[in-house]
Amino acid sequence: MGLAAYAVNGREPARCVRPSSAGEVTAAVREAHAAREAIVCFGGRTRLEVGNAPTRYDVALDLGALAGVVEHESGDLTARVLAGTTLASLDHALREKGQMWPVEAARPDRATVGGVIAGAAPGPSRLRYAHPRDWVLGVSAVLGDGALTKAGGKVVKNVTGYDLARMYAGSYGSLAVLVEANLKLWPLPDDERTLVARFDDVASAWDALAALRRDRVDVDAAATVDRSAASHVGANSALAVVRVRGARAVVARVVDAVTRALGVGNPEEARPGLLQELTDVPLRASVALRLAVPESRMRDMLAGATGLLRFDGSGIAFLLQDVAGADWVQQWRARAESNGGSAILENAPMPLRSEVDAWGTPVLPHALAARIKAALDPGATLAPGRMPGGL
Amino acid sequence: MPALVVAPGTAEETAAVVAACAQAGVPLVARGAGTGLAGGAIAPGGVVVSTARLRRILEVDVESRAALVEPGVVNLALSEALAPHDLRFGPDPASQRCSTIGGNVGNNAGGPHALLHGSVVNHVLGLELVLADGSVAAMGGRAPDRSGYDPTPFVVGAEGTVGIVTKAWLRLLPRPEAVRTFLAFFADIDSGAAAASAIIAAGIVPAALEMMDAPTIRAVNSAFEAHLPPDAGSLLLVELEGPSEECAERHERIVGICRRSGATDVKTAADEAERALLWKARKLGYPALARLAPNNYLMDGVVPRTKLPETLRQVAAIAERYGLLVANMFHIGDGNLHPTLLFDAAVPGTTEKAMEASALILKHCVAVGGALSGEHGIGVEKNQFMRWVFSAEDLDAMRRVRDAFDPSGRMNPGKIFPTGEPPRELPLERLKYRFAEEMWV
Repeated sequence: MGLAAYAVNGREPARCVRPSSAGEVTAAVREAHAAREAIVCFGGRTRLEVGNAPTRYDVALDLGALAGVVEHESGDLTARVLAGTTLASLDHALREKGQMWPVEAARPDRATVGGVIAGAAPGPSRLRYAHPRDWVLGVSAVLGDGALTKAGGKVVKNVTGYDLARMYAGSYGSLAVLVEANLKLWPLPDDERTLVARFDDVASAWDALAALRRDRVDVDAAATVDRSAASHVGANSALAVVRVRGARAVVARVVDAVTRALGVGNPEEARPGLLQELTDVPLRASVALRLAVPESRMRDMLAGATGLLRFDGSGIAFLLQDVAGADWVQQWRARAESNGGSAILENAPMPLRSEVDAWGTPVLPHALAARIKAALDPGATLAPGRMPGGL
Repeated sequence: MPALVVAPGTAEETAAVVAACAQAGVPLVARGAGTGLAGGAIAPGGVVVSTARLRRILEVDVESRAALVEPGVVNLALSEALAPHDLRFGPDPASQRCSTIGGNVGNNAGGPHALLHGSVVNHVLGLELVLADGSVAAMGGRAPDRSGYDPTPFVVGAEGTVGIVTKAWLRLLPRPEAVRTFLAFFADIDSGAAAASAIIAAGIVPAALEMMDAPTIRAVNSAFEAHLPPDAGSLLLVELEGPSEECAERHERIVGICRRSGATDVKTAADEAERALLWKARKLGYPALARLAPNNYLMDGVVPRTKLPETLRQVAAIAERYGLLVANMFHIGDGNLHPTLLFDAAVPGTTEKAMEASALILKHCVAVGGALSGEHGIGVEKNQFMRWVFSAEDLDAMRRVRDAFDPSGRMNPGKIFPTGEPPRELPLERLKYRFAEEMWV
């Protein structure tokens, strides 16, 4: 691939390194650190655009060749995988033994384990299985000075030293380069069904799902889109998509409950892959603003919005637009932050990116964030400027 | 001995205490209920900051399934307060009647139900932390993945070495639709362990899967009149939770697996009272064991689940070699061992023997791909052994991030990291330093 393929926000790197071993990653980072060059890590590029454009960019570190399941201990429900392994190939390998890594994200055919962890990728699995970091037991990671380190371990319960592995989640390749991860796995469900219901107004879909949640109906995953966002999946009304998983008898009963709750929307079996298509929608829109807002405030917060994708019950929603200005971002950000949340620009064309900060106000005080960054990446080698406050 | 114990009543007072200590250059140790088993709350000097007065539940957000609590809230009290909302806090360490959320967070506590729900780190959404200079840092929160770094999981399990937690946003779980609790008895440890492995390998993850061996069964019988079969070589305590049909189906399958693995009998709790008795026996099993000998050493180690049978044989062999009685009562489902070495410290040399045996057991855990602690932490108990697990570079990375939080090194000093030279004051610490050097994994 030519260097143009590694352009980030219109800027090409001076060179590209495609390591095939941890040793080569170490060498590449060490060399860049010594030469005061800046590195941007590439996995499946599904989270590459999240955050601010790096202020310096010399080396593209493409981890795509560092792929494969190194070890799958099915009796332990754990696996050791290289960071560049895609979610789809991991799923394929685990499925043979009746297991899964229960983390879902956009474009599993491209998204890598390392990228999904580093990018804290959102997805429908958040409802039942919470955060990707909850399914990471340990990592091998190359720090900004080229030191190859490990953190955590391969056992499912572990308080041996600081949990750096989970702190790398959501650090977007700015603290360390993930090389390998030990993952916690889960048994595949016996049965699974996904329903779709159509609504005139997305708020009716939200209400139906909120009622299911209040009644503690054991829904495995849920997503809603309004009419505008539904156009990305070829639909022309608001949709609620609900997945149910578990033992066969349970699935039958929960499907009944879900069918009743979504009654107005005439629920029916969803076409295969529809939930994944909805998960991919933020990558299809030219502007995607992710809202991280407490679930209890999400409904009020979203009043009046159009272009909506929501993972109901998870505190995650996206606002999707074809065209948007800095004012639009600022307005939604102000609303999100006043509701105890954040609004993060995940996808945007270059002009908008340069006009508005991608993050808004960070939760962690800047001084502490800066010291953490300096501790792990002393030369600001890794994606400098991508995180809030120029870190 | 600490020079001073302070019990602030608010986060602001806590910050003021820490700021005053910063000015005076004095070390601090945060302390909850003091139930920790790794010495993480031991304060050889300086100021102890007790969280005893920080025990308010500040907010329960039912819709978001999250609660904001102060660190002094007792674990069980939180779940009791949440019960009317049909919610609960997942982690249930055996100490839950007195241990606090702050201590649970500091040690990344586990408990039997960590098998299904994970450890405390999987249940903390965000924190407010007073740093060594008295400033306050928020991180994470009720909504996932807000802007910027989220070191929440780093602070969980950091044993108070990076600051004092003054507020925590916790993830809450809905009350399960059904719960089933039952016991399976086996002739020996081996067949019980094989059954536990087979259950997991069959793709069933119960809510809890616990083992008790023969000495534990006898101790629990005499302490609580638990009426467990006195001749059983081991038992598995299994709890399932979830939709009722699923519990029923899993129950049947697990009983089948146990019988095929040689279970001599299976006994199901008929009602809530029987279930409570089974769990009482389990959670008060340690005090029951403690009656068996003048002294005991309750250990905490983890191995991959597939290494359980060989590890249990090793534990027995090591105890025998050192002439110690060992009892096992532990979270077999997640490979988290708790061998309890029973001995009489009045017999000269016995304590040293117990220490050496314990070091060998931990060494074995590490050698088979496990860890030094599953839920108790490192503290001053195992800091010398950290080099068995981590390289100098690994430890240096941890130290650098620790320093980012506390450049002064005054927050709970002397914990987690191995010392560069043998500790002077404590003879047992010197002994462990020697074991760490001499035993290679």
